[in-house]
Amino acid sequence: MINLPILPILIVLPLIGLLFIFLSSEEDENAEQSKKSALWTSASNFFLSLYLPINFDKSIPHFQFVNTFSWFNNDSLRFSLGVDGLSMPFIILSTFLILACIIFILPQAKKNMKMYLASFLVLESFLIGTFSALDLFSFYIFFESILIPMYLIIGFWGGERRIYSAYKFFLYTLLGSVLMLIAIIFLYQEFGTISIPKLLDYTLPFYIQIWLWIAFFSSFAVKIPMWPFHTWLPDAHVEAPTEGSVILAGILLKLGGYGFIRFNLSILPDASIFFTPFIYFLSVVAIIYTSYIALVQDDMKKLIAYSSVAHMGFVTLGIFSANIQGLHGAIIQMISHGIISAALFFSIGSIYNRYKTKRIDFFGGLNIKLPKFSVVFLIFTLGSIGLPGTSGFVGEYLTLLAVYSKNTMVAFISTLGVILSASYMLKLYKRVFLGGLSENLDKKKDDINIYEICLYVVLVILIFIIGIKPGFILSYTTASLERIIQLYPISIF
Amino acid sequence: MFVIPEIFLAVCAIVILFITPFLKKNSYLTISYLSLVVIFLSQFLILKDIFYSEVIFNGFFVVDSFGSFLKSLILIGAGLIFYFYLTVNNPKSLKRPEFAIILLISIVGMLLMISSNDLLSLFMSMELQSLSLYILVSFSRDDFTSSEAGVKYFIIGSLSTCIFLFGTSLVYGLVGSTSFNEISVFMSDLYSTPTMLIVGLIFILVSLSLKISAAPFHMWTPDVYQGAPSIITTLLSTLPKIAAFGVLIRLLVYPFGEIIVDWGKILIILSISSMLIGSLGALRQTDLKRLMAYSTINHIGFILMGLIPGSEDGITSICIYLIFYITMNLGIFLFILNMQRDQVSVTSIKDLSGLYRSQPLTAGCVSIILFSMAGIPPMAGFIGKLIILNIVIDNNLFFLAVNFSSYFSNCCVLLHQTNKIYIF
Amino acid sequence: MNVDWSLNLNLLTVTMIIMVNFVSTIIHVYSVGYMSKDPRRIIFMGYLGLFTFFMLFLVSSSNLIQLFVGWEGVGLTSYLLIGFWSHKDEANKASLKAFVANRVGDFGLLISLFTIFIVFGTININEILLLVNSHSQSYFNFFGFQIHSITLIVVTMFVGCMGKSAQFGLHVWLPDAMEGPTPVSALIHAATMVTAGVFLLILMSPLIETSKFSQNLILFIGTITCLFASCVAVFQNDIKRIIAYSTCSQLGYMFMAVGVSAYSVAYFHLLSHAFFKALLFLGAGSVIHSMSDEQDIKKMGGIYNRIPLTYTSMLIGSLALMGLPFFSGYFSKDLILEFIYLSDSDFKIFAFVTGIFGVFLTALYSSRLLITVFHGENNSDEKVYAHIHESPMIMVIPLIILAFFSIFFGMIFHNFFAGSLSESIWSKFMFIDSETNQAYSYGNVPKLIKKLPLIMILFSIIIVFLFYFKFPKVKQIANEKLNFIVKFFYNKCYIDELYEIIIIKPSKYLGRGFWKSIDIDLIDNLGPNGISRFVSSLGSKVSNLQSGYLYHYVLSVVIGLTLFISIYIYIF
Repeated sequence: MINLPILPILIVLPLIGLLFIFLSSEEDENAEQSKKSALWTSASNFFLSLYLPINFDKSIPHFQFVNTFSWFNNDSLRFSLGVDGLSMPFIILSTFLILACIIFILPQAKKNMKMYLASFLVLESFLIGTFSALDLFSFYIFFESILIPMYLIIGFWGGERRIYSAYKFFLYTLLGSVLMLIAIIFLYQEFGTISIPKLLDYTLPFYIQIWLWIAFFSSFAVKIPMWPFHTWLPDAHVEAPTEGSVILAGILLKLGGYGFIRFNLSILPDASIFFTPFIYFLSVVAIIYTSYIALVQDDMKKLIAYSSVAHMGFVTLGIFSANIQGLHGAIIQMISHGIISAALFFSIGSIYNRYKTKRIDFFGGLNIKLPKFSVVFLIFTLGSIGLPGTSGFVGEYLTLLAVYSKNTMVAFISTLGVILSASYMLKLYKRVFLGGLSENLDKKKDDINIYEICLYVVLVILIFIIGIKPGFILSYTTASLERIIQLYPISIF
Repeated sequence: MFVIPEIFLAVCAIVILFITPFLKKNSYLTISYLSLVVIFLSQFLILKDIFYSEVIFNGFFVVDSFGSFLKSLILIGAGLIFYFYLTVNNPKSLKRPEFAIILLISIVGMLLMISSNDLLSLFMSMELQSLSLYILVSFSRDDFTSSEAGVKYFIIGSLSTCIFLFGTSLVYGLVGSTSFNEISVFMSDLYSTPTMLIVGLIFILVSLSLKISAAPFHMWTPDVYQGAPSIITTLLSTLPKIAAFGVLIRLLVYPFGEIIVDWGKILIILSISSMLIGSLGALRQTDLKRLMAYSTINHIGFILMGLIPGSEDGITSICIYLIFYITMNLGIFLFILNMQRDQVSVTSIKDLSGLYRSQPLTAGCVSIILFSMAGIPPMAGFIGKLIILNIVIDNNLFFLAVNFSSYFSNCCVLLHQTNKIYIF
Repeated sequence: MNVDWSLNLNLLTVTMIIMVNFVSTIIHVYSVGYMSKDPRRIIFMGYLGLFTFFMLFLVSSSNLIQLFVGWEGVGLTSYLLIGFWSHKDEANKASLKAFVANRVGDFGLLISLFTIFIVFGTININEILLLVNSHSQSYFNFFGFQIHSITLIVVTMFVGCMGKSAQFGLHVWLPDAMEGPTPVSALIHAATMVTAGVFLLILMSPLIETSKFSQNLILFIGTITCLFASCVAVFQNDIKRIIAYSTCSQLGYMFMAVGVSAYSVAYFHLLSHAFFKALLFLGAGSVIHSMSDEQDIKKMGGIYNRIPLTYTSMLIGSLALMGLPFFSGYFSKDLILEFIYLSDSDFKIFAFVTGIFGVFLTALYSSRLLITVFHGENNSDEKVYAHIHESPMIMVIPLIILAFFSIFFGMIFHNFFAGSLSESIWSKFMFIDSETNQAYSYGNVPKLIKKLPLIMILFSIIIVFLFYFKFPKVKQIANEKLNFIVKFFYNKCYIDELYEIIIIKPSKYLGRGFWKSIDIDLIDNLGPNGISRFVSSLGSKVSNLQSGYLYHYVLSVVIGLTLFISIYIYIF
């Protein structure tokens, strides 16, 4: 096996694609040339990223494909990349969803198409960087850098109140991560290293862990988002363009969960135990509270956004129950939510592209106009509900099981979320797709085009594959997660 | 002789001054090009001996690599400002040969400031620098705002001079010398610091704070920045700051290094108030130059933090931050200098709306600079802040909190501006 | 946790598979005729197939997760099929309701699965059953209380079964589910899916045996359901709803049998019920078909000679349902009652009396149905009446087959499910209470008890005859005088309305409240918006410091200077 520096390649490749986009001189809204280069770049990046799972050694819990570069002329400050079982699925998810987004953009026309495509490629590069960063500083830099393209995507191509939403998104997340920066600098000063693998070997005193935990928490809780830091999400989703929402829900939220596992749980286990009841409380509130809110939404995207908060509540529950089922569940839940919510946002995008509105009241009986699409949407809905056989179920089941073994009351209450999710999602489906054809629509059929069909079919297949055989993802993650669990002290919560 | 660059510059300035009357109309261009060449040459002279250090002129001046570094930074900045001056569309009143000469002289002042190793030489060079700047600020004398700014700057500057002199005399009274070396020897022999010495130091500090416009001595900054011609604002916001920081570092760390506890606390107050006022004040500004004034105040607060531990690392980080700072500031000001709407120069933020549509490349670059000023990774501004934060993270928590709130609100402000430029 | 997809075939599951496949086949055939005019019939058949797949998946699964997959899968197909005519708003509402109500049940089942995994460390059904005895005394910390773990498992599992099998409290979806096409009602809401709850309990019977409390609970809920559903059935006017409520009450009987440990008998009733209830539904479908999609029995009447085959099959089905001797219902239902009588349960008397009364009511609504639909005056308009015709053969043949089984199934098989033979057959697959079983086979049931159901049936048939044919006036007067009772039961005891008030409306208010008051007014206003407002006002204050007057600036310098000096002198 040749030793390919795969991670740097994955990070740099989108930037090369960027170059091609800027080199092309076309200015129109279609920008065919740029679309092609973006498509090729993201596709090749996706296929290259498959190199990771193929050559991944499942039995090693440590980081693999490590590449280290000197950053400052200093041994303790080195910039290093690598993946373990925890981060690898997310890298694949990122490259996949970016490719999906680019495919979805292909038939569309937008103002400043070149910039739009460029933002996505930059985003891809940063995302891969974040998931593969092995030192705190580069993690932070990539983590924060993501804000810029995302901010532009929401602020430039968004809807009516895009400025407000973009602001809120940016500042909310920034406020959280600024605290994380303190923690990172503190860790560097305390241990003279910023390498995450090395930090895993240290044990910090409890009182320091508490402060660091809060600092990391503030960043990831905003990102994931947990109640009550979630209010940026619905606004951001409603205003963002379709592809922006897809990335936001599909990957950006997962950064929070990833961070929780990578930092809070692995590096600060004692504080994690101390704060577990707190996390449980917030998660339970998130699940129930946002589900209730989702019940009364009039905007499709807002509804899905609120449901995302609820789904992420399961993730935090799973993570902080800190046993193997919980972590497995959290990862599956994140990936499944990454696919399902992305699919739902794509679907809403398809609807929006046709009728230029996302208001639920506007629609009704859409299955007469879009028969194929209604089936696809139903599958996504069911996935979101967590119907067994779809990926959503596996995540919810495992996380709830994990929590149940720790705290029955928490699990009991959050299981109620399962009922509520069925109510709001099916209500959405009913109001939009079922019933008589709405007066606002004509009888003409305009079913989904070939691009959409390809995309949706792949997503549907993925939902079922993960639902029926989650083991093929978990086999990669198990070793790494077990290592985290081993380091985790036994807790009574 | 290692003050060659300064001497060279001064001589050249005088020579150019003498040449001027013999030139025809539009002589300002020739003069400016000449000055640019002079600056290049002196830059070369500095770089030639950048690692050399020596005390010269009976301890009046010192040449060392720290000073040389800052000097070359100043000369780079000066070169760029000349370049801007030559390329952008200046108001007519600026198109005079004196402009370049006075600028050169003020640069001589700045370079000497950095080299000063004695309170007296420091005073002299500071005055040389300031007096030239007073003239420059009120250079377009037909313009009401420019004259007003000039007067304000002059009076505040004189006040600063008075305060500096008073402080110097206090120090001299106690130490019996104005030489940094002597002061340093005096301080190291002391068992307890006399109160009056510290009062004297405070006077000097306040005076220098006026120069770097640290809050609460910042009040002149927004008015002067706004009133002065844009090219002068560019100058004001960059080069004198470097010189003043050079002085601050040399003064505080070397002769007064023993009483770091005392001046450290004052610096904390200065730094915190600068950061808060800088970021809060910037929030509601509608004029880009005024906004930059507050942004400067904010950055000054940040840079001051690096000085608080008084360590080598701190000074290094300040130097790095200064590089980023002048780069970003010059970038923004180049943009401001070029800002036009309907062929008229404008500085109001709302005139920026829709910039992206007319000048996409400019808008992109400006927003990158703004993101960098806000300190958002992966831009340079973030690295600068990271390095400074790394220095002060051990200090108390309240300080940190203010620190970060300032960092944060700084981001808000600049984001706000980005929006205006970019999105509308 | 390791879960493999695998199948578990034994006599219990195989008989269930046979039943499911058999009924499913018949109903597929029937549907070909019934749905022949529907443009989306291909999708319909697809859904039916999907349902059968999930049902078989449920029945044959070897672990509970897989069972849960099937469990939810049948719920899903039920949802799809109820809402098949998606242009009807009622159908959509009903399908949503069915799914959500089932979800409530699934919620219980999920909790049960979690507890099982934590207590037993496995979710393989056979392994669990092997481990039951070693865990029969274990306790589980639930909400801070130490609860007998198996009781918790069974009770929560029973909540799941209540949802799926439409027991009292979670029954609300079943009558509404009749908005779906009739073959669906026959297959899903009568024969197969709704019995999944009973099936699950039978499957897990050794577990239930270790928890007296849950047995009592099951018996109690079953009894209440039986009583409630048959009472409501008497007063309904929609032909399918009557049968739906009847299904509900028959499921109540099955749970009663489970509650008194008579699992084999419950299973027997499950199987026989599948035949005659499918028959009834298909018959009803045939009636509806011939009446041009009319479902209100008040608008039918006197049509028995126009559709003789349908009439005959409906008659057979009803008689089987009532439990008239020699029809299959007679064997299975009487067995349940006798086993209740023989059991030593705390609720034995209550259950038995209610069961007997249930028999009375069953006969009452069945005969009322038959009489109002097929006899008496015709109340439909002329057009419809002129159009009444026998259904095509493809629909009638399934009726005949089912009728055959409704008659003979009980007669042939009743020995396999109760008495000495049953123990040797079933004891490997479910719990058989050998004491009761022996008591039964020795004939310990008094003659009167054995004859009591029959007496009740005859009694009620006589009443109906008198009411409808001899003294119609009495019926009218009774209707007027007892209007409130009629109304009460006609409106299904106002349970839907109750749920509307205590669950649905508060949820909406809660959602709106959370959203508008907490999210927008509290979090946003105090959080991002509030902070930004505060900072921005602070910012304008700082900007306003800048007066533009030089002497202010100079003053500020002087103040700053003195401040620093005084701070230094007095504080540091």
